[in-house]
Amino acid sequence: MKEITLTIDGQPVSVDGGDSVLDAAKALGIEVPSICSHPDLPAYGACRMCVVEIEGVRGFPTACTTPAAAGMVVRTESETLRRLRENTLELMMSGHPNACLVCDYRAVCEKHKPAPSKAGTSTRCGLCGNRSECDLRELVLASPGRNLGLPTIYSHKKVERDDPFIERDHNLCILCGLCWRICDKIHGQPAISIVRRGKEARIAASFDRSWVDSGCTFCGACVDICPTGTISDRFAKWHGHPDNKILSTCMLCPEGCAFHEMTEDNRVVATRMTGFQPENRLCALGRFAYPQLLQDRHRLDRPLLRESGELVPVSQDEAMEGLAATLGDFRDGSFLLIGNDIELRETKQLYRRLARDVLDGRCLFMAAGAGSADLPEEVADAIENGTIRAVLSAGDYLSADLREHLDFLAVIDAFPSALSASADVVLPASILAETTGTFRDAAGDVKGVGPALPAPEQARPEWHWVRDLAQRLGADDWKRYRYAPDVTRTIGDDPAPAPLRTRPRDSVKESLPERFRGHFIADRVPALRAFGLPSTPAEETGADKRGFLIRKKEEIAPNFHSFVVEAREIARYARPGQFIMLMAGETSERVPFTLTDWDPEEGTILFIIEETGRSSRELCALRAGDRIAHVSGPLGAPLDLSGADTVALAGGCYGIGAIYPFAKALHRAGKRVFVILEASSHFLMYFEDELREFCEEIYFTTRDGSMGRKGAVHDVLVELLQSGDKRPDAMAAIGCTLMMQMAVEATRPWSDVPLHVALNPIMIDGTGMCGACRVSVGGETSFACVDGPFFNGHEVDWAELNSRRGAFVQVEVEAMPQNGTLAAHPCRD
Amino acid sequence: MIDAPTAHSVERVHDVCRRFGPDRENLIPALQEVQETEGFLSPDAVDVIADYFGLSANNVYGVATFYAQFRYHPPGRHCLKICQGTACHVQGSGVLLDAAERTLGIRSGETTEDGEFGLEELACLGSCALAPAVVLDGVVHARQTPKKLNALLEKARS
Amino acid sequence: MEPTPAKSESKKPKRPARAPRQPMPEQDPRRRVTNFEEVPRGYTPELAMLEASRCLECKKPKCVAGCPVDIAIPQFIGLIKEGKFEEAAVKLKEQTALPAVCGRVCPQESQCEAECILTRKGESVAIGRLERFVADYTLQSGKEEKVVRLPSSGKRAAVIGAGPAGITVAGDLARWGHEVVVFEALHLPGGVLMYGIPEFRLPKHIVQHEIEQLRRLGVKILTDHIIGKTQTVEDLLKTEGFDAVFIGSGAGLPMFLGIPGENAIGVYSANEYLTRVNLMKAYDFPRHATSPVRASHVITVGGGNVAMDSARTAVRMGAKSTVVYRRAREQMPARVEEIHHAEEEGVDLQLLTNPVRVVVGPNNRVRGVECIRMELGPPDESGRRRPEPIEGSEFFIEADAIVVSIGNRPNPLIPRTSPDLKTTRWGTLEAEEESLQTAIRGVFAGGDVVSGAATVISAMGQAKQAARAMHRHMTGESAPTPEEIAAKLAGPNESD
Repeated sequence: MKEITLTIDGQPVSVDGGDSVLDAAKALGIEVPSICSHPDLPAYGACRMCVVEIEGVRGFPTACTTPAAAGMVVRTESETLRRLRENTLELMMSGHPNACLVCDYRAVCEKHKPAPSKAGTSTRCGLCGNRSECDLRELVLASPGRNLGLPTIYSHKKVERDDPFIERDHNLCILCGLCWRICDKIHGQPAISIVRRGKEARIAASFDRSWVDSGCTFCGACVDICPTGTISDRFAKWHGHPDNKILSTCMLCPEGCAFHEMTEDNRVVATRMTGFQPENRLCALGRFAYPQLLQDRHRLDRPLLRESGELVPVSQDEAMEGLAATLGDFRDGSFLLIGNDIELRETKQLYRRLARDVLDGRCLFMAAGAGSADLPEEVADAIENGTIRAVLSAGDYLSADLREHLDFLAVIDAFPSALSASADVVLPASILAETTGTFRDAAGDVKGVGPALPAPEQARPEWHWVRDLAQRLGADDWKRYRYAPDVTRTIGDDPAPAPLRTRPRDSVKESLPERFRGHFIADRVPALRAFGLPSTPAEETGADKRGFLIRKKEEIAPNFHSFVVEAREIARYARPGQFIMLMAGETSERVPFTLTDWDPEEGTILFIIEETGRSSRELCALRAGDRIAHVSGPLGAPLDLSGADTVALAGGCYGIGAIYPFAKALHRAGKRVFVILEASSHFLMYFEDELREFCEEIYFTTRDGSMGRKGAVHDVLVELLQSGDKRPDAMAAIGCTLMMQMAVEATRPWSDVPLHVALNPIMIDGTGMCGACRVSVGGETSFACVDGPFFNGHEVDWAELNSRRGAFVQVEVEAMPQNGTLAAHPCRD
Repeated sequence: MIDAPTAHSVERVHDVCRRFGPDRENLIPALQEVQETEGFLSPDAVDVIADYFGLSANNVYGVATFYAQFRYHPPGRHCLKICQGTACHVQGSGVLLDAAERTLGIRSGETTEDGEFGLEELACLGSCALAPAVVLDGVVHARQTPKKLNALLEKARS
Repeated sequence: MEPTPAKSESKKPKRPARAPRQPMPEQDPRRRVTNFEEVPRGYTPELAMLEASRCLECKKPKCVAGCPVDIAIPQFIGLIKEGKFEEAAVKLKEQTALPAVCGRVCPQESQCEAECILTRKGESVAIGRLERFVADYTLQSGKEEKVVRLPSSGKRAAVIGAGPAGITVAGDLARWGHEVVVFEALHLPGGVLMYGIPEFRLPKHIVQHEIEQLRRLGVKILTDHIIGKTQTVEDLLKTEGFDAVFIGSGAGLPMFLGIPGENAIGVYSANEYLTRVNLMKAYDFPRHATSPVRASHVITVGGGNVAMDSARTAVRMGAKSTVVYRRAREQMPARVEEIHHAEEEGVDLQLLTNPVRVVVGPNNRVRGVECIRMELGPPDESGRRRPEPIEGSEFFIEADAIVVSIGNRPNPLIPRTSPDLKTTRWGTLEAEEESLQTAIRGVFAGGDVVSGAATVISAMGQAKQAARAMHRHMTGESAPTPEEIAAKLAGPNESD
């Protein structure tokens, strides 16, 4: 019986003693904005968004920290409250990059580019992996005024990328405290805390240690609760909002923790705790290694049969025929099945029965984390002395020596190994989220697994293989095991698996099982090496010391890195408008970048790279003194604007550096140059002084109005075109596709003034040999790398260009490195 | 450049803690006492204190760093404190701080590699007539300039 | 004419020439579609000697006439017969710069083997396989080839392009004592050998070995260097101090069909498709960062070797693979062996079929191709029967990737930046038939840039011709023969 009755916005509501005013409002379905409150955490009162008016109470108390009292009269909406909340939001957002939220073109831009760019640091929503999940963004978009008048102060904090699995960008942190509070609740003591104070205040571990050493168990609660993109899951980050959530049970160890599998296009991209209580916590393997295990690139995915000495892919039928035919010879007690103790009960049941009942052989289940060295001695002896002659192994459980002794080996597994390479038959297995059935944990409880997600190619659940095999061996009645419950019914009181001696959910050091199905888990998920998990040493690929020396390298604005590189020939022959193709290392992509400047005497070139994906990240991770493996150019047709007397040059983002060579050359040739620069916000502007030197007048536009005027380059272009004396004879606009497209649209009434745009399609070679960069201009197909990259903006088929640029979006997400910074770069000396 | 604590000093820290009951309200007095005896808070010291109070080291570090009074580097043989009060500020204490940081090669709050000098900022000495003032090893020096300061440091070194 | 049985075969009951052609051990088709390893495994020494023993060592060998570089075929095969593999290699290398490559990619069935006398009654001697065997044998022996090079002549030659033609010219000129610098636009030398021909037909370590031999000869190879964008051809002669220039820039400009929808996402030139996988190793994504093409059904348009390479690459990348070719099987320019391999690997050949338009779905992505059936009419000017569309026979093939593999033209960069060079209307460089000299004195050209897209061996043949002409241009003398080189080096004045 709820004992306290109060009135909120004129409506009565009754709540329990101890409930807050915020709880009461929720009970009525009234939405009071809040960032730092959470149903599973005690009130904190940090964000000050949930302020309300209470009759008889001075000021504006926060609803979350105010206990509901009988007879209270509360108002959650008023003009004053609205203003207060707006001011609070404004202050909050003054420390959080927000240009996209106030940009007039946000909707158009997000439609134009549905996936955010995979930037190094998120300087706005369009560059943020949290965009589809961000609570802060939702709050701002829901706020009626959205008058974020204060300029963003960007903290320029270094993104923390060295820890496994979790990345942290403190430039986005609003100090709501949810992360350390949930850590405190779940673990009893937080692995992170707010350190220092004032503008130095930050989330960190003791003495700024790596989270690997701070006691963090990598349960991912902080990742899941963070309302901004500050703490993120490196693997899942760019996959966007998961489209489905499946409640299931983890089978990586005998604990059998419940969790949600978050899927994107039927593939698991992350897992989440089922609640924010201590008992819901997951371990590093279940939370972070799980998706990577499932999406391992080297999964066994088709049945293999050894023919004439070689393993050959065959159909399922052929594999089953071959297997059944051979196993028929080993029904004299010489057969052994080695299964996994941590497995679906249905699989184990049918394994037992296949081994004992159908083949009159033995069955052995290897414990969690076991490997070939853990094979019981009597079994090893039996193999050596020929008592056991045929084995079906559901993992990497036999040493090469032991394998030699066998007459026949079949392996049913998800990952390749030396053992599977030596087998006579290999069957690809579905694992974990790809299976459905029941699982008995170490405590003896039976839990559900599934529903099953698709497995790669021809991999199937193990009990399916076993059922079909048994039928071919004469067990006809096994055909009634059509679905998992048909098998479940037949299982009585099967034994629980042995518990682990360690507690993976409580620590990442010396606590996580090292193996899965006999394989080193760290071989499949290299980031686990940071926890000390053993892995097979990788082959040393010698660092290639050749390449183009970086003389200077500097981050001149967040995500924008300027490079001065030795490239004598390019420096000699470069002309404005040309570009270079870069390969950071021998395994990198070839990527185009505009040449900003060059010094023929020094033999150096200067260019600016915006970090927005794998290849730019590889390049931006290099330092002065390192070498870029390949720099080739100068490519493209140079653009000669010297025919005009008055030129307007507009550059946005990476375009700012790209207009520099034009400004320099034209100004020196005595032309009138007007420079217009665009950036999302003031802290992203760069090269102002360099460009100021080479123009008559420089204009700044920012999407949030924090520098110059609020708007885009096309606003100024139109102004110049309309002015009498400053009307340009030629214009160039360089920036993202939308910026250039909008410039073209806005200047259409003046299409007699040529507007040159630098098209940016995907390129492979950059020399005209592949056609990947083909664009439609004036109804004809041109190669941007040889006929361009500059074309008349009014003739470009923008829709086609834009769609072709998005051809590999999904693949590019998968290319993102999973091991933190590329510290061991092949080009690093 | 944090001194590697010896087992000896870890025990000492533990002894200090034991002078207080392991209640949360005693955390700050305990931290202050440890800094008093050890001269600074090392990572190991923080671990010991955290353990004693049943808190995580991260929690304790969070509390300690909130306050300006705690040091995380061992104090130098010589301690230079530069007053940042209003009068001193107006008279150029900022320049003095820059000079000190450059000469010693460390930032405020740190200690030089050789352990000779520790550098700190003081909120206010209350000696405005002496602005800009510094305190070196407990002795106040008035109306400093970068040149005079460097000379002071040189003298102290020898 | 009764052949005299070779001495080593006197024990065999069957006459050697009647023995059938020895089959080539190959990777099982079911296995090889999951990997990029080489398909033909190569003869063992026993198989090689057996096959070699089939050769009649004709006094007037017809096979040599069929070889674009006049390899002394009966002689090298004779040496194989006797087990003298290393000597066979030396014999081969007198005429061919890249035996390990040509043994694999030459269309022997229309060259030497077509002329072999044994074709009258059965299958020709497997000359290509024997060439490959000898070349591989020396490669695998690990023994370093002797560097045979005349002393420095004081002359410098520039070679543009490190493809088959460029490599051949560089090797010959370097052996004759000239200083050679090769300018290569891409980041790896090898040209079409690296970016075009897949790993499963030509393992890259072989190409790298050949490049290494060039380096050992003292040839300097500058990658990432694009002549025409940096120096022009004239600059090389006038200001960079070269005495002669060879243009071997190949035919890398892809041709498209010009049908509607060709700019949709999912339509690739064969160059792009193969460069992603071969040169940039997209099959090893994400270790290699270049994005692979992910498609469930790839349609390759074309019937040449490049089309077969694309179709077979598609299979290995996990796609269903169909080839659409407008003429009939007999007219397919591809090597018979590659067509055969493609079919073994499950590639579906839709012959006498021509694409009409690319069907584009939402988001500008390929949904499939509308094709039309063809029938062969009377021959056209090339002598081949012209295909003509059968009215009303249009049909739709669903697919998510189209690879256009209908041929390449030379890249126009060099003629554009050296307007004195004359080009034909197909974009190829005009060069004198004998000397392969272009309109600019001292500038020679050979390979695909002159002939249009052709074979590795024809590029090599032209390259050898051009090298001889360049030597004459630089020194006024005829290029030395292998015997003359050996004599010079063996003599008392030898200094190397």
